[in-house]
Amino acid sequence: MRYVLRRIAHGVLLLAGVSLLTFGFTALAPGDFYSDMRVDPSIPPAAVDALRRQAGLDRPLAVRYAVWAGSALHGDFGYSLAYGSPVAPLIRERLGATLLLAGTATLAAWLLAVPLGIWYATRRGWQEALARAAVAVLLIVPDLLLAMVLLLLAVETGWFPAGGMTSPDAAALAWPGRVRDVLRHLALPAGVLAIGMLPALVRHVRAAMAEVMDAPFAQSARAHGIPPRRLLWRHLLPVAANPLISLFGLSLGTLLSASLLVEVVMGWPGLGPLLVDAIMARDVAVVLAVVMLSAAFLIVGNLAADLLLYRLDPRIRVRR
Amino acid sequence: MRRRKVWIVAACLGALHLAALRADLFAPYGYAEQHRDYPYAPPAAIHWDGGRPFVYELRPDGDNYRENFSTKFPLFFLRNGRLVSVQEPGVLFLLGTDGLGRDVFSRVLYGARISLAAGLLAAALSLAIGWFFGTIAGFFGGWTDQLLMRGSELFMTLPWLYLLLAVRAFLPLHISPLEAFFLLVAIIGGVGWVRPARLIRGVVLSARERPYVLAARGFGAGPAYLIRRHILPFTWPVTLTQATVLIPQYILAEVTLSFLGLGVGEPVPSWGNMLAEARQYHVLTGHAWLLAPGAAAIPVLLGYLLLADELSLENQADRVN
Amino acid sequence: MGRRRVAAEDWVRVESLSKAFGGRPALRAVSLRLARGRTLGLVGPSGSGKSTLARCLAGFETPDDGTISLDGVPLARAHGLPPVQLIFQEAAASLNPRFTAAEIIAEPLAIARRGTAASRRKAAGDWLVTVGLPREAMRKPALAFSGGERQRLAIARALAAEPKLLILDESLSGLDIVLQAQLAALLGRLRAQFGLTVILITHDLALAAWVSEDIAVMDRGEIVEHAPAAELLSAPRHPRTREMLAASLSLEGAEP
Repeated sequence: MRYVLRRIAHGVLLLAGVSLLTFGFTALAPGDFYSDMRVDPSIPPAAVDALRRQAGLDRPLAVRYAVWAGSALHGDFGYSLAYGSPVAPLIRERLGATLLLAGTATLAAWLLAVPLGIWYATRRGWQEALARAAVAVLLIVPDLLLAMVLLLLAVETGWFPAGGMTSPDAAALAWPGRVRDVLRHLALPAGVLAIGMLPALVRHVRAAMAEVMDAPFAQSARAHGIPPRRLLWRHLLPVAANPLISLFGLSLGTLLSASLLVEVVMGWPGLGPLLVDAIMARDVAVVLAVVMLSAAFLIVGNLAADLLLYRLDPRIRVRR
Repeated sequence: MRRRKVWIVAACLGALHLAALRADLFAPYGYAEQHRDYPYAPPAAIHWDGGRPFVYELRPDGDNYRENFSTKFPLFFLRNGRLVSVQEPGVLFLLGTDGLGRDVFSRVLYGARISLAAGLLAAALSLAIGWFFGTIAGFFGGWTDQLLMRGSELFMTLPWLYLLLAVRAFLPLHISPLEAFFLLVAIIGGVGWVRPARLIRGVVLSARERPYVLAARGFGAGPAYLIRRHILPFTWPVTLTQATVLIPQYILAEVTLSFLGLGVGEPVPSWGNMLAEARQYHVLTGHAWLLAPGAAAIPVLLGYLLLADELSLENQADRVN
Repeated sequence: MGRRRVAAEDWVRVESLSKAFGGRPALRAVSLRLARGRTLGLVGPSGSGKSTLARCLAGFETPDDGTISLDGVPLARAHGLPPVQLIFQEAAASLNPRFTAAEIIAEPLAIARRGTAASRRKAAGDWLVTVGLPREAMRKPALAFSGGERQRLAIARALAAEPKLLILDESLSGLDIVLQAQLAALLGRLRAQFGLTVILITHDLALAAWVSEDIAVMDRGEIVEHAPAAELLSAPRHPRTREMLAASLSLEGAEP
């Protein structure tokens, strides 16, 4: 229990540290949301100043941080100057879209990577070379290129919708129809994302298995005549799971950021395009909120992995 | 580095980088040269007359182009400081043109300069920073080590891409391509030092405990001597392997940032900002050659991948000995 | 600079040395005097404090109490090349396998910036010959030498630093009998040639008697007996000494 509390406290501290750093970093930003307006000769400077004052951009940094942190703890992440709406609901709808995409892709990637990695680890000779080549091919194709090529194919063949999450007339459909519509739009981006994640995961699974298969305890178990299937499930996988659980925690933690590129290329209305647009518009409130959210996800992901390992791996408990 | 394979791969990679470096030699056109008459021209079809290559005149045909078989333009080699060129007023678009009629092949070569250089310089930066902090923390331990671990944890709580974007977000947006290039190098390298630092710290930590380091200490050796003579050799393999892993990552980082409009901008080409043109799929459809910059990255990434694999195998073998 | 002329018997002088590790005392007010040019065998069971004493003498540990002085100079105030050189049991590990023999031997001089690179190389070559290795081996990396040869390299390195006191901490233990004999003979030659003052730490009483002129027995952080070898072996006074003597005689069957 003490371990759990300590890890949680550690995570909270980390989050606070990141918030301080990020907020402080905004002080470095030359100019703000209204900078472009300032350059515009048709808008009097007094009006720009009034707007800035209204948005609270003229107050000292420490005050702004305190205000922001205080309201953030209540779930109020300020006001988006670019979108003209509170940040929190803006993020909420985008967050759902991103989680749907990244979650599906991550799940698919892991479900494929584990058996493939295990299979790969047990191969020798030409099969191993073939597997290694296949992984290498997937690894070296940049995700950006993959996304664009598949988008091109989708448009040219018409098998998949050319981007977006819903069709324009989907709102008129009944509930099952709308779900089917989203799924149709989800297929390509999720596929691209999953393919992008797959090679690295397969390599990691294979590495974890290879290390375990050569360990002395595995060799002696084999020498005792334990059949391969039982060996795999009861003896090898539990040990190999250790690094893989940490990796899974990392996968969870990067759920928000992994899909950024795919979202931008394929027009999926998630956090990615929101962040990029906010950066271009210097919409500090949105950038801050998205960054903090992704930090929170990463911390929680790692925390979850740590706690899971703590429960599953007796060695960690003994070491404590 | 005794294995021949490493040298072969390294040589091929070197050749690719050299081609980028001498883009002015290998490219038929300058990167800003526009051919207003030929927007979105397809890749050229090279024909052979005996042993001599030539192209037909290119004529617009509605939305496309067709070859005019009555007019031929021979290709020249090593003329006017360019490896390949075509007799005027013929045009040679080996990979087609973009919306402004600029030769994609030439721009891919010039763009390689930017993207590859960004990757290499950023990697050098983050390895240098990481080496420095990792060695200090690993060797002296104590509070310097604590500082490194806690500090690096902060860097690692943000997913890498978001960290890059966040840092880029708060720096000036509208800057010249040259400024943008160095800014990008600084950001990518400045953000990515954490992992090499931790790896080098680990290596230095274990090297520090070796009996012969303690013996040299007993002779009155100071930290500078110990690091230079005994510990430094241990950090080379790690640094080299990290370089082969980081460089491709950083090349892709530059491509991503420039693609999103946050990196190097017009008119200087980088693989990223060239791909940005193909962002709208109505531009992309029918003009697939605009994806060439992305494809150009593949052999480079392959080279670094092979190098990284070979080096890590070497390191494992060394460790066993 | 007027240093007080030190009597030869006080070449090594340890006064009331105490050291504890986390509450557990390793040395209890140990006092010792060693004359110049003598060889002392320091024996005792494991945990008796022999290595701790050696490490304090070599400056690797700071004692909690007491003083150490060499040739009249307190250890704490010695600068430049350390006056005490310690050779470990695993001498091979204390050599950087990538360094050449010349680099290893010259290292103490290089660190103290004595002489030029050329003079150091020459000195290294000379020491190499002195310990019985060929001068041509200067350029060979340490891992090209056998275990016994690496022991010699370690000794050469220690000697190159021209120490006032040479300590061998179990350096001869764990070697085969032939190697032990060779190294013991080497030590004897070096002592005769250079008038070395040596402390040999070992748990093997017979070995100590063979190589040393005096023997000191340690038990639980204290020196319980200190006498010339012959005297100690024929008339041991402390029960611990008698215990060790009985054990070694029962193994060998006769005095060496």
